[in-house]
Amino acid sequence: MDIQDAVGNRSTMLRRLKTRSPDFLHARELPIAIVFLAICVFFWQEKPDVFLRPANLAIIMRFIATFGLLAIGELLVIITGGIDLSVGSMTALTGVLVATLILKGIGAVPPFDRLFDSTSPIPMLLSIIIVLAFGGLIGLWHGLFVTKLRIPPFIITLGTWLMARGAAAYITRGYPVVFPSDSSFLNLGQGTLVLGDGKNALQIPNMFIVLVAAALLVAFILNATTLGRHIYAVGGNIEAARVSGINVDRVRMFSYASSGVLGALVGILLASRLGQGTPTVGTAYELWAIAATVIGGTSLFGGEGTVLGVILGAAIMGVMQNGMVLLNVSSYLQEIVLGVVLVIAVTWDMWRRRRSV
Amino acid sequence: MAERTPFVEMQNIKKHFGAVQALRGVDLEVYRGEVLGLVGDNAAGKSTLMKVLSGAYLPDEGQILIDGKRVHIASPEDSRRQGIEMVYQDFALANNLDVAANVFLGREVVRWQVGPLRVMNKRVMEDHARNLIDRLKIDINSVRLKVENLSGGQRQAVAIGRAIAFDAKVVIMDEPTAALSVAAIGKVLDLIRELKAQDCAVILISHRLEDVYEVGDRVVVLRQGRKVADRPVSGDLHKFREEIVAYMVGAKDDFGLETVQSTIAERS
Repeated sequence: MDIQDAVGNRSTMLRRLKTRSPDFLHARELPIAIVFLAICVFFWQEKPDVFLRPANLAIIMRFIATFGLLAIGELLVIITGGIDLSVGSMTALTGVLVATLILKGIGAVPPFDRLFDSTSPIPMLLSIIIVLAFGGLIGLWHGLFVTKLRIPPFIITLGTWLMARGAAAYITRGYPVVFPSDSSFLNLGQGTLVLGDGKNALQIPNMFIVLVAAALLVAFILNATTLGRHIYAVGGNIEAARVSGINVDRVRMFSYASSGVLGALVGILLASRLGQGTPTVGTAYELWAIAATVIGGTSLFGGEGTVLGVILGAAIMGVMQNGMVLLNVSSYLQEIVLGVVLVIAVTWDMWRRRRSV
Repeated sequence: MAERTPFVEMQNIKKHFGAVQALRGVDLEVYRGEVLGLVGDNAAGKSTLMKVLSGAYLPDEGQILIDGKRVHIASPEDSRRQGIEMVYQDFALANNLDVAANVFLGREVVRWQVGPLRVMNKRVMEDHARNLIDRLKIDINSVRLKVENLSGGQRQAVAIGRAIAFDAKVVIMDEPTAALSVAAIGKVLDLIRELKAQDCAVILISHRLEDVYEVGDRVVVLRQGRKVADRPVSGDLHKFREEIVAYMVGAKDDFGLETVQSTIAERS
């Protein structure tokens, strides 16, 4: 066989591979998954004794859970062509709120202290539900401004970004609201599900289980339901969606409300993880979440993006951050590296997109 | 043809926007299996008239009859329920979704429902979309292709297919050939013939008089919110074009005051 033949054969084989191969080989997430695995292998090679240790994996999984949950909310908003800058501050406000409600009751939350005299604590589960609902309401508030008043999402969520941070500090007068160390609330963020036994038993943080549950639910909504299809349609061509009879305002309200609920969920989990509601927690988390969605192949122009991609994006950031800590890379340098990863991811995605059209 | 009831009959439709009288009492009828060309200069009222029919605008006055019965069309949903579909000039497709998803956009086939979550039956939608594409002889390899990967002609075909997928009886097309290559225009005109063969009524808004000439049975010319001509498409293209342009610019008028007066004078 001469070279010409060999080359010809290879290209027909490639073509056959491309047309016959199963769906997952065409998936946009495949290259991202490969990059993720490569990064894992790299750090595992560098630090074989530490990287795969259960305690370290639990640290990575908590990181992925925190930013993965925020990024899923961000994904729902970004697919519709919007953005939610409020989630970082919202984790602080909701964390402070849940801590205050559980420990001191509604009477300790400033605008309500004049209405309610009660300082009796609110049961844990009820507090959590109230705070999740609060997050959803803030999301609806964003949706209302974006859809009915046509305020750019960037602006209205930037407003909340400031207000929520301010409110968190105002409610607590700047001090953290600390849980007693025996509070059962702390189980939520600090507890783990132990698989196997002995020293090498796998510890899966509860937070990570919450992430998996949320990811499965949102992936189901996006892939299998009319609501999910309409979310993509709104991001692809909002006018087409409108003339097709889709209630585009309701779809966008859903996206912002979901992001609000997920922001509140992270706020609650972080308060539990840290054992306190802190007004300074979650600074710039919205930007990390947006970075995770973008690394995961989501288009900031809307219409594109998947839950799997976004989780992989958060996982790449989590593993890199953790790996660099293990390698004693200076924290300043870590940020530089993650910034470079973000730029590479976006550039590569744009290049791939242009080539495929 | 005069014996049959028109499928759609619009009577004395008036519509104004502020001080502008966009439609000054227009009558229009369309029959099943007929291609009606609707032409006129910019701001003649073509699009406004069609938006009244498709439910985007409520007329100030006038009525609409479907199959001889008076109907009230107050929204795009009402219009669709009567079997009236509109193909928009800019295709109105979501380019990030595939062909099947676009065909069924806003009318997804639902398998089961839990609360507000309606789970789609994708297989059924893909099969239906495939059948539709085959029936219309549209050249698209897979209904799973994203619209952004299709050519302009294929996109227009999908937009038209989408309009007629649900048993449309009237399809309104707003400048369907405006942005297309010559080859793609031929395909769209073939599609219009196909619709006609399936006893569908087509209202074709177009600036391209040769298209109206080629597929149209009848042509209505609007000028300044009034109907100035309603005649069969006949003769050779040159003459047809000259005549229609004469109506469009106001040199001829079959329904003007002078014409009506002279007809009365002739009769008496």
